[in-house]
Amino acid sequence: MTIGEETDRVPTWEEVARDYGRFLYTVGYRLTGNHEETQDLVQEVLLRVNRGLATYRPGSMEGWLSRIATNAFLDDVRRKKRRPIEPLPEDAERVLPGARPADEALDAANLPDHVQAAIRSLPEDYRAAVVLCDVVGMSYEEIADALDAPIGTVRSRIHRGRSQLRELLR
Amino acid sequence: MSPDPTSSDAENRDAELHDLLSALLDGELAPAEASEVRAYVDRHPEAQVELDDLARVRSWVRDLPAVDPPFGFYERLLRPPAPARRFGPKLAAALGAAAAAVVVLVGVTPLSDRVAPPVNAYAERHMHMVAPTPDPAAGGGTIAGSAPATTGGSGSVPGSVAPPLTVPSSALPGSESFQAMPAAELDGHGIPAQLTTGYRRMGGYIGDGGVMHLMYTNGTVVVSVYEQSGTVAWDALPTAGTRSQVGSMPSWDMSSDNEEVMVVERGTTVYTLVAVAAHDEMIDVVMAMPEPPAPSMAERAQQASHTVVASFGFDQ
Repeated sequence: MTIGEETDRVPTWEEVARDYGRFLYTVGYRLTGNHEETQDLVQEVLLRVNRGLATYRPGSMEGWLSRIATNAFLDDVRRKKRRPIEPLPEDAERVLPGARPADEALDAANLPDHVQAAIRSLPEDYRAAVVLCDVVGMSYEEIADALDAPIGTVRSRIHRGRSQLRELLR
Repeated sequence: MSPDPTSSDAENRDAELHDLLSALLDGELAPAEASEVRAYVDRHPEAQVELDDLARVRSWVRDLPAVDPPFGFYERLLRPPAPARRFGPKLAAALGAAAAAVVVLVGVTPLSDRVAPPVNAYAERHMHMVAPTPDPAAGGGTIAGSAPATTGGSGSVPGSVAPPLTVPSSALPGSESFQAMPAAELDGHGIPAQLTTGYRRMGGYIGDGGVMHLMYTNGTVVVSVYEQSGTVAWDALPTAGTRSQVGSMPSWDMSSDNEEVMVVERGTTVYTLVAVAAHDEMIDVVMAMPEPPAPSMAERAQQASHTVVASFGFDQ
């Protein structure tokens, strides 16, 4: 079984961990932004995978895992907030940190770190949409399905997320 | 004067079209909608600038490299660490990595009774094998717990370290006598010379009771693998150990001051693994090694099992 392959059989839990471990870890890291939370997230995802393998229908394993990872991530975010979920700010400008000072201009060597830091500063729902789109490579329809959100919301979250990244990475 | 409703509608529509710039970039718009957004971009030069910026941001995110988990992360998940380890997670991770790889080594042997591997004897034998061996010529030996010095010959792979060629059975602790097997014979039986986790074979021995003893090293840690047929009589193992799990396979492990012993039951084959703690700094190096690609040993092991069974009469 190779990454990206459409599988026609249900893999074992060990095969999922072995064959998709790096992919899963990468998605987790892009969502959480640090290794400690990533390890917790991946562990939670694999627990859910173990419980859900019986109901898994052969298809895109990456899509399935990404969906589980994103939902586990958002569940954790909501749990940590310990308060009713607030609606996402409609005005993206309100959540933008200040622009990067000129002397911290992006350089090629540090670009991935800057980009990762900027992703982490996004509101979690924007972050999830951007990661599913640009890291996992899902279509908007797939993202809407994974996040259980209307496609218009997905369009908006991706655009606003990228717009915030644009401001942060200027 | 009241605002021009036509102008207000146009502004609202422009705002909606502006929000579709990313969707345009991603090719996620219907043709008619895409044409409308493109027309909006043509009318607004600043929208073209933003579109270019969004494309650049998108490529930065897409080009982010894959992230590797810390060494041994998945092995630890597959094998939850036993409590009260004396030398912490580093050796456990290294041993777990080796264990995860080597448990698919030699395949199936016939059904037999429940067995209680003589874990203390196996650990002693392992310690004896890796202990310093006085070398009259060099005036020294190897470091206990690290890979023994190269002695060449039977059972070794080219360029690798190897335990002594012929180990007098009587000189070794353990419940049975072991004879070294030549490297070619090990190869012939499909015993992997190299594990995908970076461990390479140091040698292999066959015991008169049908137990196979394989030794692997990654240059820092030496792992012994004892293989025998049967299922584990868990209750007969020393009470100092702890029951655990390697993936779906039941296991048991025990730590001492400087070594760890693990028993894994895979079908009707029992593996006993022993490793010795090496220098912490060396373990750090091991931990920093990238995760190796997925192994393809299972197929080789499956073939090897039949050969091994036939060659050594395990099925008789």
